[in-house]
Amino acid sequence: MSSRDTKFSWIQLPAAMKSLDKFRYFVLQEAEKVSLPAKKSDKIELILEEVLLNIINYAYSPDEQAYIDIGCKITPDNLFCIRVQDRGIPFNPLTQEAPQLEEDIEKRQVGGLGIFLAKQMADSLDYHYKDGNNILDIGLYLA
Amino acid sequence: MEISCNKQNQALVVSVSGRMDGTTAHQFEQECDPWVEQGEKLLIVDMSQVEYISSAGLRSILSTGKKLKSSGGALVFVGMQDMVKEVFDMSGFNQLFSVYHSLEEAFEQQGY
Repeated sequence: MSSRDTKFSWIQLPAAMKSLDKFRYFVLQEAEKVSLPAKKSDKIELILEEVLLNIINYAYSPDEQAYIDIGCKITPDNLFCIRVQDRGIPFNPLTQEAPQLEEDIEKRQVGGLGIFLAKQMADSLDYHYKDGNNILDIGLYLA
Repeated sequence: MEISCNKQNQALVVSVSGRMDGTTAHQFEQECDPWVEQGEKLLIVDMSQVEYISSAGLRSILSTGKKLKSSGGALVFVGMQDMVKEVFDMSGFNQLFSVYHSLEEAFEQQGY
């Protein structure tokens, strides 16, 4: 079991594609509790998918018992914060190189857009590694 | 996600509905590629019923777009909802593909 900050409300599920819908449902419910505007919920769906697919596809080796923890909380300054935590290989997704958006269609790379989109959509995105956990904090302001 | 294809004015209209996400996006490529291999030159994708797209959807679109381009064809889009348009623009895909409001406009602008 990974160490979890008790200020968040948490869900833990296997790091697998089949968990995507359940994670999404959980986070959107938490967002609804704090009346996050619908436009921001759309952004959350995209950010979550991009971040989770990254972990599911790259963080663990296939034979590992792999889980992802997601926690939500609201801060005093009205930031809805989603914490995504995994115990896979240490990896800071925010250091990933930005895709070349100016290239024409022949040269344009297929892929590399996921984390870029997450960065564009979130109001804040912070990564740190602590006690064997990759911890990514995604923030969206209520207003 | 659901996809249906039909020929209109010498072009192939590809109507997509639902979510183009990590679990469904590959269907787009699977559905379009055989048409490209058969020599279709203009694929008009009707996106009006697509409510969500992620990078997996963009990947699938780009992959098909590259194949069409190398065979001298074009992939164009019509009727995008706000969320889809935002993701498209943010990724620079509006520079790679023509986007129109309606099928009629797409036919007219593509000279069909």
